[in-house]
Amino acid sequence: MSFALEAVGVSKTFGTVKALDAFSLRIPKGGVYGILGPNGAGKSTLFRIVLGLVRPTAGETRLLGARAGDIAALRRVGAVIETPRFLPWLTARDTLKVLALESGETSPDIDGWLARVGLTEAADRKAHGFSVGMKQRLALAAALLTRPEVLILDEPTSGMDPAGILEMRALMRDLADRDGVTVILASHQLDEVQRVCDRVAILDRGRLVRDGAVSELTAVHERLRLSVSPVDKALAVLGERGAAEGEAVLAAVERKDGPALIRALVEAGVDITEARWIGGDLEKVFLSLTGEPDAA
Amino acid sequence: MLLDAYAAEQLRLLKARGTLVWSLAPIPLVYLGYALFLHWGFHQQAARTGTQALLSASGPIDLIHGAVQALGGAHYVMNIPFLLVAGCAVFGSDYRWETWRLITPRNSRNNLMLAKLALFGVLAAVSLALFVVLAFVGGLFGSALNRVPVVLAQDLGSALPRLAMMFGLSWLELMVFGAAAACLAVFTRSQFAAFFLTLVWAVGQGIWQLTLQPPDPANPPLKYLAILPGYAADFLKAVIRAGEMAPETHSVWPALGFLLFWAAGLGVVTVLAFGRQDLTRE
Repeated sequence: MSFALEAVGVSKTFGTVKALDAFSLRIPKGGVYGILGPNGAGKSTLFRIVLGLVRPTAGETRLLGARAGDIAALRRVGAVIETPRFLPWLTARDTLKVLALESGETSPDIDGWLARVGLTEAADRKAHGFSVGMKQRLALAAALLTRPEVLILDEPTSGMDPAGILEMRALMRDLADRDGVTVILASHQLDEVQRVCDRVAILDRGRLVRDGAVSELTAVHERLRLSVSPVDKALAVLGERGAAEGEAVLAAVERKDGPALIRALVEAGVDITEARWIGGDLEKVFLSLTGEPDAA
Repeated sequence: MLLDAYAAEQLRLLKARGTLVWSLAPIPLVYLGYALFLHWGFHQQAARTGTQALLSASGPIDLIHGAVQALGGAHYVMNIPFLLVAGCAVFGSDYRWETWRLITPRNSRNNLMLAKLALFGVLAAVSLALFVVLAFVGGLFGSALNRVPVVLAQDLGSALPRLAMMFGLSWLELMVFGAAAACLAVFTRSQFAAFFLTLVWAVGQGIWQLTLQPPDPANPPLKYLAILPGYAADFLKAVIRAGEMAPETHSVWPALGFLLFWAAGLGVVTVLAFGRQDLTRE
């Protein structure tokens, strides 16, 4: 299997602060991959190392099979990391022209990318007058200029309005599903990661705590919610697996055991008016693994 | 890829019109104004004293000689701070605006820094070319105003090489300051520090040079040529201006060597330091 990004035993220390501690991770190509972690977990540091902005103290990273910092590989990667910053005297269009030249992109579709990120009307405005959300969009257009195979995004919806957030999520999925781009994103928004990502990695204090498919990670905290009558009879059948919630009960069972449980309740004389799976909340997974209320 | 990086740097600077104008225009225009004023002064004096005929017979205006004087004269030293305005914008703006994170993944660090140094080199050459052109303009104005004949050079065979040498030497001296600004920008990560410290270095050298009184000006002590690139440049300019009248000296090649070493050395240090630098800090 080829990997979009590989980190093997990566450590990075800034003074006395250990940002990454023997961190290892392999992100396969394809789909949208989320990276979660509390503040200071090392997400941004990982991206900086992979993009050649900082050198690791130990370990090795690879991007599309090439060593971190390899320019040929980096030209197949687009990235938006940290708060987007631009030269204030350049317009959006000029900014992309300069960056295209820097990348050796001979025929950049500047107008096309500006349209795709919703900046056509602001194309000839100087970047210093842009809002935070507009800068995020411009940064994304800059990242997409070289039609990358891998897109690395650090808090891509930060500072955006709700409509912009929805557009950004749709764009990320579109890039992954339609253009075959591997999207790797770090985000504050657990809900966003759960909606957009196929797989996630959870970091804490510079180490990988857990990684896997979103559906697998959240299955641990799934519950079967049953609207029942009488509730006490249903709780008697469920025993320790059950908990009351108003006129309903929550059953901690695996999906494969759901039908059998429903049959057992019906046979015990419990009326069931609604049954659905709920929870599978990434927030619960995150909290149980890191003990931190804040994602990043 | 180096050409890509250069093209990008050039476009960025061309879009910063204010910076470009302030770095290239002031001193050459001041010099032109001064030259025009001088010629006008001669004209007025001749008119008052009735010596226009004497003025006309004083010999032709040698345009290349005037250009050589302009390149090697004091106006040129005053040009350094203005040129550093653009230079420090080229070398320091990515630190100031934190745009390195946007740029470094797109090209090699060596190319990015070499492109900046090359752009400064082009800027320096343009600045010097402006001096030459405006020196010609001043000479032509003086010729027209005072009805004095004008020639490109009294002896073209020796004048052109002298102009080329003075141009090259002045450019090399500017590159020393440019490379110093680049080096300081990388180490301090500050556009302002690069400008200020380079200026302090330039002025400090100038002041120190004024205190030096070598026993044999034609053969100044090597240690001063080595540690003061401005002194080495001024020595070489004096030799060029003197032409065939220059005294016997064995310090030309060492002076040139030291100047080249400063420019190349600072450039190499800059490229190496930038290549190893962490561009974001926790």
